[in-house]
Amino acid sequence: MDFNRIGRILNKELEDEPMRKPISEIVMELLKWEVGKAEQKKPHGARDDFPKIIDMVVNKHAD
Amino acid sequence: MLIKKVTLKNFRQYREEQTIEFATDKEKNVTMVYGEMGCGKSNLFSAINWCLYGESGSVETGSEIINKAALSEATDGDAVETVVKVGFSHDNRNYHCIRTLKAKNVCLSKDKYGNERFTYFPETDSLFLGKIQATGEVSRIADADETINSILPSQMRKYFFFDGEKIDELSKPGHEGEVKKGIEAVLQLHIITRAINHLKQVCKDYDGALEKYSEGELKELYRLRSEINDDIDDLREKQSRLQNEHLGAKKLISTYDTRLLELSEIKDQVERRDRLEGKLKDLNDTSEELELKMKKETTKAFIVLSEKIRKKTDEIVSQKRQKGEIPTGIRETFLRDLLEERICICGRRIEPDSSEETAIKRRLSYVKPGELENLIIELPGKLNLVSTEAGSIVNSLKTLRSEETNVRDEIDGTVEDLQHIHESLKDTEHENISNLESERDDAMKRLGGIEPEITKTSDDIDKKKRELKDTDDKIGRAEINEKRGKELKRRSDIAEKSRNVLEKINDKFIQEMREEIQKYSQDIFGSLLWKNSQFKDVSISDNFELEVLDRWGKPARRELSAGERQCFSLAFILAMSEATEAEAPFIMDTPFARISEVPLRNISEKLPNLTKQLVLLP
Repeated sequence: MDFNRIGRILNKELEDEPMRKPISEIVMELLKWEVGKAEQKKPHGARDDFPKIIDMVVNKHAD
Repeated sequence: MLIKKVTLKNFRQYREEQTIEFATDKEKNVTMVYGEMGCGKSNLFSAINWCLYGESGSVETGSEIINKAALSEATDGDAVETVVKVGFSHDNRNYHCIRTLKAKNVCLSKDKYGNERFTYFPETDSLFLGKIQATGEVSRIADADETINSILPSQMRKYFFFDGEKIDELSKPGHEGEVKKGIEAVLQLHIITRAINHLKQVCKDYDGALEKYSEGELKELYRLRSEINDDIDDLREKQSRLQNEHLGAKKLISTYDTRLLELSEIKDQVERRDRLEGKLKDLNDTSEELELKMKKETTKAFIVLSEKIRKKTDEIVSQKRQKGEIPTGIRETFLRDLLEERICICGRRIEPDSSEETAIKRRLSYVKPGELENLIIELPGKLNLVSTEAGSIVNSLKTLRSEETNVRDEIDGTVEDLQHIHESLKDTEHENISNLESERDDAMKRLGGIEPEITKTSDDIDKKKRELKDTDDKIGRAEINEKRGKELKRRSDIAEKSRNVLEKINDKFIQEMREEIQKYSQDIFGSLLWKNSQFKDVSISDNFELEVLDRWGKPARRELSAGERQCFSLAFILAMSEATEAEAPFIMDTPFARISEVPLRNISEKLPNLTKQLVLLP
């Protein structure tokens, strides 16, 4: 997965977004999760893990 | 991934252990394995696929890959082992991958000539992946499949390890789906698609959860609280007014009493009335107390009502005890001690198998363990206590009722006495006394009207206070819910925005990569063909249709010869590899079979520079 390219597109897309940092972090973390699951050939578990990732990032950027 | 070495043993026609080393040098990166048809080139290709991914591609897995000579020489029950080892490097790290298949040679039947028929049962199919340390030691990697997939994903590898004769399918008319699949696999677009779909599910879950947090609830509760507080204020104001009125009426009555007392002819009557009023107040207090006591005793009425059940239980317990089904009070330990010491409390010996021993054992079988045993023993006593308690409740209620009747009679008598005094004073000929008494009576009536109103107002205030407390509790819960709701809403919004962004990324990513692959395909295709070729441009449409354009800009894919299609497909695969910057070897089985001399020379010159490692199995 070309994360550099995705990161570049992401920054451009979120240029004017006030919640740029958490959204960008969430998107990257979710994609990394999907890559990990694809490597394990186990696509399931997103319904539990995605909210955890979102919680973690939102709490980190709470201030 | 750069393949350094492949070792095979008992894999198809590779009988004894054989090792092939591959060129990995940046300058000299081509390995060509050349041989006659059937010498094992395709099986070498299959062996690499099988070792790394557990599937060989061109040949069957299982017993089909085991060397037939090894199998035929194996006797009944012997295990034959097929091993393929692939040594490779990736990101400056060296790896050692070993896949082993063990199968047992078992004779299940004989043919009509008596020859044994063997069947081969796979015993183990194992994969080992180790990382080679600087010291030369190999450390095992726990998730072998996962690690290999992270280095070169299984879906992606078929565009790096491929059959040269089949690649022209990518550019054949009607095979647009193959191009799309290729781009999706190499770019790993399924990762983004999955993330979008998973995020959609999570957004839906958030929406479902948010429905529980109604925003209007708290606003309504705040309104209700304010309303209750207003009601309490009104009631307190009313109570204060009533208390003032009460005080005023009492003061007035006191004034009338003082004035009546000043009149010597009725002084005794007035003083008596004062005492009687005091007595009436005490009697009313006593009556209230008695009523409370009776209410309290009545709550225990179930004991009295259960008397019938108690009697029945007592009867059943007595019958059971007589039959010896429940202990009479003899504890289990006592019976066990008797059996152990073999001496009765009367001094008689308890012989084995005697009637005494049988009786003790029978009784022991009725004895219930622990607490239940105690309960059964104590049950008759407890039932008696219940009976005594029921009697005591009935007696107490009778006494209270009788006391209450006496007090009521006394109240009636006192009220009657007071009424006599009042009538006597009112009917007196002395005008002043009669008027004073009438005015006093009016004040007394007002007082009598105010007192229950004060009590009712006080009850209303208490009721409103309870309502206020309930509302405050609800507000507390709603405030927590609203806080949670707000937090959830924030997460839901972020998830929704992330999903939208991911969708945009997906589109942009595909667009960028499509354009890059198109550009590289065009450059590479142009460099592979001969100079005066009529094909000039390559295009990949939004729908992933791979097209070649002639010098006049017209679609010309249908005009491509088989060899040109191979060149075109190869250019496309190389372009995908270039665009993704994937570090992977190009392993081509039976390459360039249909390509004519000029493009073949071009390919031979250009291909090594376009790949990190090139393995050709012509």
